[in-house]
Amino acid sequence: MTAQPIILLVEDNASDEELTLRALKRANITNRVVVVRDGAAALDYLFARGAHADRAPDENIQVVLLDLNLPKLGGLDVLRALRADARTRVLPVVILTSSREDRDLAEGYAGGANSYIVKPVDFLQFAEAVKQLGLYWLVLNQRPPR
Amino acid sequence: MAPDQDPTLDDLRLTIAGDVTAFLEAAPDAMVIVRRDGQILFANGQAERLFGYPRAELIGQPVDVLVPARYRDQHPGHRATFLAAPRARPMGAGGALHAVRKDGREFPAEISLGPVATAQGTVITAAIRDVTERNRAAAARADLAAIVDSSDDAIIGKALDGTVRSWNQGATRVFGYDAAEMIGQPSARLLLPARAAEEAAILARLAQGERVEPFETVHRRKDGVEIDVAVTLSPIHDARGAVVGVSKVARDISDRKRAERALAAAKEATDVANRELEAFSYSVAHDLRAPLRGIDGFSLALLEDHHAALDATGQRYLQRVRELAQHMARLIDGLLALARITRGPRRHAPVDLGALARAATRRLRAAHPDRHVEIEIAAELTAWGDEQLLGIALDNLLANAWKFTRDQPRPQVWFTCAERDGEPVFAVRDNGAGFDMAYAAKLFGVFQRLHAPDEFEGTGIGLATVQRIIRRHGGQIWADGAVGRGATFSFTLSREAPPS
Repeated sequence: MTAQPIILLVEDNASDEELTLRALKRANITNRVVVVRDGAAALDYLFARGAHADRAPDENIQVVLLDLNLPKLGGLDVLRALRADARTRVLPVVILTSSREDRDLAEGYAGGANSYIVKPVDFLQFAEAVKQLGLYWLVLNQRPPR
Repeated sequence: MAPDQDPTLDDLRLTIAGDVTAFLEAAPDAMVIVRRDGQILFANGQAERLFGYPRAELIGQPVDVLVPARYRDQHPGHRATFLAAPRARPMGAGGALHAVRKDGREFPAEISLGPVATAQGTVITAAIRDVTERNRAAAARADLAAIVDSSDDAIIGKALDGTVRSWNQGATRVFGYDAAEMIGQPSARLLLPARAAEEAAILARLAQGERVEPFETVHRRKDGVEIDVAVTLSPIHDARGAVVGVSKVARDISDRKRAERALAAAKEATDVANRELEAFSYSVAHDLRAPLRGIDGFSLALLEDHHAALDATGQRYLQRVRELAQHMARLIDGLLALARITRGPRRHAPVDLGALARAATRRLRAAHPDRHVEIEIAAELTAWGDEQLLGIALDNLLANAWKFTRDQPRPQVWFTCAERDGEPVFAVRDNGAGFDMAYAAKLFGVFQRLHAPDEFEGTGIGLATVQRIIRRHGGQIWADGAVGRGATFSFTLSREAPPS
């Protein structure tokens, strides 16, 4: 029996965090959401080190929602670090960003992102996007075997 | 005169005394012996050949027949002058003397005269040399020297050890040293100490018969100023093909190099500015959208979660807040799209504008299924340019036409092409709201709008974007219209790729 799948939200903007959580709630996605504020904290959490050294080792992280523009370590650097480590090489990572720049899209996919979502300004569209990606990654998508 | 080697001087005396003619026949030049009165006593075989007379015909003639007619009158006088103070002397070294053959042809001659005292008085021996070839070669050399000297480039001849052998005026102008200062000196004094080995190595390669490509380097002038030079080094061969020296042509390219450096600096500054603009655009895209999302999201949260606490007016205000946030998001997107047009590499290839217009039309119909607009797109609308940019331009023009025909009972849009001065002029025309031509100039300005937001929504960026795209293609765009009678946007596209 695995633990309930959790979502790791890497988001530095408190408003965006609250809106994302609200959108998940509206979509009836009740999984636990762990929020970290910067790229370095994201890696600490995922590799259970530093401030997150004592997190439960068997936590079932289903998907990482990763902003690109982050303090300390940027989203693309986080992505590259995850893909370089055997423990997180196949962990689903969805880039969730304001940037629709071609360069970010290209580098995101080249870095091994599973999906790239541009956050719309219109909250209804944003909520719909979060609902879809929650459904897809938490319900439909089958994770690779451990 | 260079006589044959003589075992002893006495042997020679005996020979000459025995047969002077054999001695004279051996001379390399035409030899004529003339009496004081000018009569020819003797002519050797060379003289026969040179003047074209059989010897028998020459002997006894006045020597003046060998002088061109126009000088002949003066010749006896010259002879008398010579005889007044007879001594061996060369004449005509400068090529000024002329002689004439039996057939009347003249030739430049160098003549050496020598008096010989005999028992019966003085006779004159004359050695005559045809210097036609020598003069021609000298003239050719002089021409070449003049060409070399008139060159703006420094042209320097040097030995394989680098010693300067020749130095033209150009070299003086370029390096400041004159020929007297440089000839016989090592050419290395033009080099920077750090680069002296470089040229020595090249000279060694040339000596081996290797070809050396022209190269650019730095030399130092007499006044110490360092200059950029383009150098061509070529081997100088002797008659047998051995490399005996090197010619060096050096051109002062300091001005060009300065211009190149200025250009590179300007390009670098432009690149820096572009990178900054890109960083700025990126920051706008990311950082301005995030607060708008908050404004919109929390307004909606208020409307949804605190519905009961707000009256109808309060709810309407929040709805306005959301609309404004979303409008601002569209402005940001429009500005970013406008900025993006001037960035990045652009293609230049044939583009099917008709296909782009049909795609734009499909998107409009999908986005506004409630509208029914007749859109007529001409056949054969091909131009040269960047497909993506031209697609954006047509999206904007057709979306405009689509929007401003909203109040027409039968909205119509035409995309056509007509020839003007042999150049295709494309036009998007509609039968919509039109505009007052008095404001036509404002149409293409960023944020310039001719309609209030509650008449026709819009960002005021679309036509600015279109204009920027057309200009990037070396084309022009203009608008015609009248209030209530539709608008026509016409544009041209240059066939040539615009400078990047």
